[in-house]
Amino acid sequence: MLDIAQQLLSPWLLIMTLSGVCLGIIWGALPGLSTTMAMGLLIGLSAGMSQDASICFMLGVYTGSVFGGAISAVLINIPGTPDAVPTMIEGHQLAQRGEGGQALGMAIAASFVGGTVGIILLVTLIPVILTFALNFKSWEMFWLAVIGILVSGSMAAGTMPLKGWIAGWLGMLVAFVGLETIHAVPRFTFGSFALFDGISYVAVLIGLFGMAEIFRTLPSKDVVAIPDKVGRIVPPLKILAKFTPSAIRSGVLGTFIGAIPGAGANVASFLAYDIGKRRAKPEEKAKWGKGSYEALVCAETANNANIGGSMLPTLALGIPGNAAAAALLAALTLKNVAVGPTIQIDHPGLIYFIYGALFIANVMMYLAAFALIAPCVKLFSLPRGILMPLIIPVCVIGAYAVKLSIFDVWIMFAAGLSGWVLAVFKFPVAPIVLGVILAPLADENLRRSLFVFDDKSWGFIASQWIGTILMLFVLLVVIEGILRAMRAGRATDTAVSTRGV
Amino acid sequence: MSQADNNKVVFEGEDGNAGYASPALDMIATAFLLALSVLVLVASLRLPVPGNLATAPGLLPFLTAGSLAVMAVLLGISATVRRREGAALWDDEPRDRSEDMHAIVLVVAVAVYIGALQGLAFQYYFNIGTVPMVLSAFEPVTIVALAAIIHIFWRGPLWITALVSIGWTLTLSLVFQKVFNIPLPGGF
Repeated sequence: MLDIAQQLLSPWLLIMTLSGVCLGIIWGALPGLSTTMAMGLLIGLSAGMSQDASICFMLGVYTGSVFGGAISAVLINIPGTPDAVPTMIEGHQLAQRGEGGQALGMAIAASFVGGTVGIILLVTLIPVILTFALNFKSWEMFWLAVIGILVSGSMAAGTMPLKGWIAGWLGMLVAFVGLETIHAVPRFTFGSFALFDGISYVAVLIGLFGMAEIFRTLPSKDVVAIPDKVGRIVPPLKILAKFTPSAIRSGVLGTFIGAIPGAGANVASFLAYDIGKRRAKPEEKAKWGKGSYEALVCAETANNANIGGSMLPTLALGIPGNAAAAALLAALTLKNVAVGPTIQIDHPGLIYFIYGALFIANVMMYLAAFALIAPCVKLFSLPRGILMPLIIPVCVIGAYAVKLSIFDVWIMFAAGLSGWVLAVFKFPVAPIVLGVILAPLADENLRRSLFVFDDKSWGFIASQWIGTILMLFVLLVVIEGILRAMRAGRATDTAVSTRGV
Repeated sequence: MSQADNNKVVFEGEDGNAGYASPALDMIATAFLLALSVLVLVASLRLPVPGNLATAPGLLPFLTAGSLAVMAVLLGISATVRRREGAALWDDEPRDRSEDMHAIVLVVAVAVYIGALQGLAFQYYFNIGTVPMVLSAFEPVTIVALAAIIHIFWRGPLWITALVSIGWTLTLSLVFQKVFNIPLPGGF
């Protein structure tokens, strides 16, 4: 153990970890460039490194890029990564009030706490969490995906959850385009080979959150709230202490979600955000969606705790917890590291090296994030007429880089136009992204589970207790949404009758 | 550096962006969503079923389109009810025509930019010292497109517009090609 600690604290490995963290933060902060893309594209860079340096570098990129998404989400209302959408909802409101620095400070602290909770749970609760995650079969995965889309729709559309759910369903329809995974039948491709690979969610994400934001804000005469000063970055200890229980709860939730293969940081941050709202005190609940520090803490803690959670099935079973973990798995494979149940026999001590590297990356992220906010603020504080056009080629490169396809750039452009039109019709766009990401998971798992249930009775299906609980949760989300819409409708009626209309 | 005037800043959360639109807009959305649902329902029924019905490729698209149609109908009903209760058919606030024109100009400019990257693609290899470099349509097309868009929306001194466009394009080109090893659009 002491050998591993000494090795990890050697200057070369510390430099590699710091490089990975800094690249990850900057990458995550660039609008639309996701953690998965950062991990995938930097595998090539890590291939030339030693095994130890490669692991430290890639874990640094992973940790840094998950946090980096928060910077552009808070400062310019464009999430760098999909899981930063709840952070954007809350953080940008705070930035508009001149509290962007403190919001980012809270996001950094929450990310650090989340990362630490994730690592502690990764190290100490591996058997328990593995047993839990292994109980999620196709039927449960289908319902989990549906919950992710419904919750996102419910959260994003405020008084009219119906529009959020419609947006999520539209995202699902987008994801059905292309070759389906079970029989390889082309769906809704209209004979176009370019559509056989499906529609890239990265292009859709960049379009909906990057281009649409540019189309909406650049021609606008309203003064956009890009702060040229973000204020105090280090959050007061009093505020930090106040939200510690929420942070720990969201951290635990984020880790558990991360341990479920396929359910990534986006599901974790939306679920933690939703549960946080339900459990918040009335005065804090009223701030939700309008700039709540507690909401920000819930989302950021969960998505960073997700890193530790996603490493559980990756290391112990060789099944990546999410797409970014799959990229890490590929990087490890390049270094002849075979992860899985025999990792302790095949590579003695490696698992402890990974725990340690992850912890150091988390500490580095905490320190580097404070140092990198000021340069990012300088970048984002340019006049809107200069800043927004500068983002256009970044969006184009981001959409192009995944498959080196100009077709994806057109998809990004179309998604941007759609996002702009949807904003005019007052539909939220965040659920569309969740729909696009989670629909393939829902589609494959629904059909697989129905195939398994083919000759079984309804009683047998109901006896799948985790699936049944998840189904009840879906029902709960829908009923809560309907009740919220009815309450809002009654409030509108009262307002209309008061005005004497 | 633009200073945000706090009195003019429009505070608009996610709730402000989503929710009830005017009944006319919601009715248009209903019509579009119903048409889309019917299209997907028909297309998913036409998909081949290689195995069992439980694994049919059109199963979830069919269920999704069906439930989307139900939600569209609910949206239409909600708009009709609000109209009957006295809500104005269209929003009272008139749209800013100049903003709309600027938005259309921007959309066209971005479309022309992407089209130029695709249509004018070329690649030229050269060395600076011993460092191999690649010049593609990305650099000239992006410099021109950026300069044009910044000029339309900022109206600052032309030399700053040109400097920013050239500087940013070259920075992106070097960082993505040399640091991240990512080929840029506009090449082959």
